Amino acid sequence: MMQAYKFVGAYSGILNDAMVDSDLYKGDKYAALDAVASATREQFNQKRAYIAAALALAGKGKLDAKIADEFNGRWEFMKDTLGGLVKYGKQNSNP
Amino acid sequence: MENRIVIPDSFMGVNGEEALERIVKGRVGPQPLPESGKKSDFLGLPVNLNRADYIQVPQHNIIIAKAESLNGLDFYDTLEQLKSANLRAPKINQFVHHYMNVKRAAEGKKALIDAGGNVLSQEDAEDLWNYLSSGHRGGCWTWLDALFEKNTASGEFYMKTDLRVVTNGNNKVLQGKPEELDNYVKEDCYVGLEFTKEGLPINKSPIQKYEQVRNIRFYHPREGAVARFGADSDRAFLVCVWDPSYRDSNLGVFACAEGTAPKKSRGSK
Repeated sequence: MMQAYKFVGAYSGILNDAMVDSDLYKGDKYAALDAVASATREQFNQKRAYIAAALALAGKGKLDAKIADEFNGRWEFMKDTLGGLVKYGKQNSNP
Repeated sequence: MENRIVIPDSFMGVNGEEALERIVKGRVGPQPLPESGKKSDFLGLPVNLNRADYIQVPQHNIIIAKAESLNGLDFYDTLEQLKSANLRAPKINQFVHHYMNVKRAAEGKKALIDAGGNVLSQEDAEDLWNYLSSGHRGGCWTWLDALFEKNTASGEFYMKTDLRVVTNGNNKVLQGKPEELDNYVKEDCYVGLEFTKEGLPINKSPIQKYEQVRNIRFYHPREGAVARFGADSDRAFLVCVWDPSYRDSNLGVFACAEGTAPKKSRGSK
């Protein structure tokens, strides 16, 4: 997934050109996206136990407030995602 | 073609059920939701009460103090002091439900929620369980809201609760609402952790020595006696033979207050 992100993202305009042109990446968009992917992977690694646990609960139609509280800042989207999964599961569960 | 979202069992190599178990057992704070509903505040409580000092007992819409207070008073003075603070003593069934909630929380099977809606950590649940069931922190000793009297016609005991103190001349008298008792263990012995709706034990324990997670010592009701619960280094005990005029510096009460648990959300089970 990260490889696809790298090749599609490099010339999609999502990168900060000033950062890409800095001494750090010397204009190499792929190197800049490698760094983005690496940082993203590390951040997911830090949250993966909570994500796995939250998904297991969502599969049972439950949300846990304390686990949800782990998803702050840039992780806020997880709350909506989990809420959506729970709602979807209820709409599609057998009567 | 039917498109269905399938939630994976694992994420980035981490199994969800195992992660959930680790989060609970790993004592990092998050716990599975209690059966009663989601984390939430408790409504309609006395205004001066510190909500972090009380635990919800959702089966009874009450909160109960984490620690005993008003030590050294007899039962009459205890009831009057509680009343002046808009609090009261727990009934037997309320206390034993609380006791079982704490036990289950210490075992990682349930979350305890304080009156402010915050989930207690696993360490705090275990600390509270040991306080209620062993000599941890010096043990506990509390009055309970129950007076036993005998029906002269049937010879059977009944229980009065919602007790209040009435002064009769120089004497203080307890008055309350009478309740019939379902069949309970009628001997002094160790009993299992199953209780009637009034909170009295149903079965004699097969093991007649104290085992912290399996039994408590029980003293069955006597005429004119009130109830108390306690725990020391030897055992936990429910005693229905107590003189209401007794006082001891170690004997206090787990104060409780009635409130309103928030309505369950549509999604909660």
